Amino acid sequence: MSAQQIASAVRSGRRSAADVLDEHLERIEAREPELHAFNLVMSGQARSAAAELDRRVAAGEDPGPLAGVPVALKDNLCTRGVPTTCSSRILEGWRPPYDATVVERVRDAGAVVVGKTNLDEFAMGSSTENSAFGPTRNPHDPSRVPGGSSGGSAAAVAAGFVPLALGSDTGGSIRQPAALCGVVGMKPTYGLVSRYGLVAFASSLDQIGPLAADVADAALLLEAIAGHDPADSTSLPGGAPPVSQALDGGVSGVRVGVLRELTEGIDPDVLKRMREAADALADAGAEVEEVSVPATVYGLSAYYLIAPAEASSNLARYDGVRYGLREPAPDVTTMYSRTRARGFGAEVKRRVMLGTYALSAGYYDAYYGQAQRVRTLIIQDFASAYERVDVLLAPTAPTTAFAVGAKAENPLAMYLSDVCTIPSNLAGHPAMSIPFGTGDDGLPVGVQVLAPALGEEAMFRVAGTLERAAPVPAPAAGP
Amino acid sequence: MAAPETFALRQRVLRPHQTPDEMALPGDDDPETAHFAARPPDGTVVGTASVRRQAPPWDPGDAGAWRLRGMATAPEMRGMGVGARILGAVVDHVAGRGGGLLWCNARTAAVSLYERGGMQTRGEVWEEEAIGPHVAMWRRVPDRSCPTMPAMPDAGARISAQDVAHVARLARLELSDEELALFTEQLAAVLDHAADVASLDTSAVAPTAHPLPLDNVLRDDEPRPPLDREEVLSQAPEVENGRFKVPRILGEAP
Repeated sequence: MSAQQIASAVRSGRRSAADVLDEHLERIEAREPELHAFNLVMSGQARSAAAELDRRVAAGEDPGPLAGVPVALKDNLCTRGVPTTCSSRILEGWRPPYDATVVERVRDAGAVVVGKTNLDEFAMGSSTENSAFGPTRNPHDPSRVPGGSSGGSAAAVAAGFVPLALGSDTGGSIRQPAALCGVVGMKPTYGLVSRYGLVAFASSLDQIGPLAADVADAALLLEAIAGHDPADSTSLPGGAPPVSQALDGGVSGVRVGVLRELTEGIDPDVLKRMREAADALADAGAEVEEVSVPATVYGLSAYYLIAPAEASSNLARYDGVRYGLREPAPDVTTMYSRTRARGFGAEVKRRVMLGTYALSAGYYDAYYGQAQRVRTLIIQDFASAYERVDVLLAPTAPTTAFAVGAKAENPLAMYLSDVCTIPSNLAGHPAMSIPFGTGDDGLPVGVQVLAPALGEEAMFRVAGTLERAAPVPAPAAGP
Repeated sequence: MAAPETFALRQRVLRPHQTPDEMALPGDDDPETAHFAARPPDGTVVGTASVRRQAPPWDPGDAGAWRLRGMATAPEMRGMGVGARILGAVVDHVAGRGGGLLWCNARTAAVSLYERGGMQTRGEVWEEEAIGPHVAMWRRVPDRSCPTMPAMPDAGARISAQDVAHVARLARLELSDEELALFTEQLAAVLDHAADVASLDTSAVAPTAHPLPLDNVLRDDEPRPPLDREEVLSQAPEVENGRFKVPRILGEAP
């Protein structure tokens, strides 16, 4: 059942939230030991929440548009009194004293939070292998990675553990795992969704967004979480865009640009699906042309200077003073260094080092300052492209899901997984990945729709059309 | 000092099969060439080196490069920091003249001395007839305008283990020797990839720090419930009297 169907059934009293929850907890019990999508399954709290929802429905109340829908949260979203680890030893056992705004909003909409999903430590990675608690596996083939960093959320949706999950996307961390797991994943316009309570990685790039089995469910979740929040000073004014209404709007007359620079270095089978998607849009009445956004070729390099620079600053707070791990030491400086050495994994250390270097005296202009100028070029080039077209089309990831361990020893190869998703983060634009058939290996392929800032409605129109035109998706392996 | 004063030590340490008169090197008398000697109060020369403009064999076009030659320490004075001080003087000399690539053909026995001076090996070891195994070594020497950092981010300049150790200290990360070696290699690979960005001409482009125009957000100055103090403190590793407690900060006894 989709999230829409569940909410409709629970609101009308046709199905109890408790029953819906039990069905999903059974699925989790069956495959979670193999997949490790969750850091924490909150069965007890979820059952209480479902029972309360059922009481409210019985009393004639409407719990909201997500009534009784089980939702998983990426474990970098703060949940009051419930461990929030970021898959890092340094935060193991930490219980935040507050809820993230998105957590409050999904609960207010009637959703049942069932657990916290695994991620690459502090969302730094593209495979969910950089987790202190072990990797998550791809439900379509457990020898493969689910992508990352929101790999636990993507796997949980793909395995049917939950119809909806929240992830965070700094350089593609929602869209790339969505593509590799064959689900829908969407990064909203920067500022559309409050980041309050999202553990910060790179603050000028981070954005929370939905993962769902289909486009309509992604729209439903986006509408529940989007809109101004006074607790986040980068939150945009205004409410949620009415994306659900846009899904069936069709693409007649919509101008679609195939983003030329992001068709390079892509596996041929993945590229073939993207071309088929472009053809499908043309068949549905869109005007499709190839469009160049030249500066996007510098996106990866700029990102891997900017994001680590911001991360090195954001992660300075993990010092063993106020929360989390502390390694004993005779003086405070040694305590910081030892706590961080023991608490952070290799990828986090690597990025903290890279960022500290890029920001240090004598290097700031050559690396960080230069990357910020490239960011301007990318924004300018997107602006030129969006004078000609309404949305852009590109692959989401250069390959289908790769084998667990295949890129673990080569950070640069891993970073290249994000080459197609990074430009939207640098520009602050929305983008989403929609499953579109499979590659030669039978694994899911995602096609990415990019739009200008606050272009969510056009993006969902195109996404809805693509979903209807997509080859029949491969079911996730297993029971 | 003048070149011939270094010849005796050069011959004794570096070229025992030759005579002091054969110790002159090409360019010894060039005006930019500098000779260095370490002399204790008795006036004997116990350490020498010279540096002159010369492009490295792997980059013949680098006219700004400096070659270090004739570095020698008297055997009875080894392990006393003589070599390091001479190398330091050489680096200062180069830094004071605009910096640039400093390289040498090092005897393999002296590699660790040069490494402590921020240099790294390049390519394979080769056998110099009658002298012994050698390896090329190099580092970037900064212009004096940034005296604290040992390298300049030119495209092609690689981050050294010394840089990485410095950055780890700045980032308050205790690294093992294995991590230091691994990160040096991996950070260099990522920075090489970033060289395309570092070398781009963006002089006419303003930087973007943030995708949104950020404004100060003000709210009415009304009291609101803060985070619960007990709940916050309950998460701290150590508290005392309602405050976070840390190990000693200054040098006093605990």
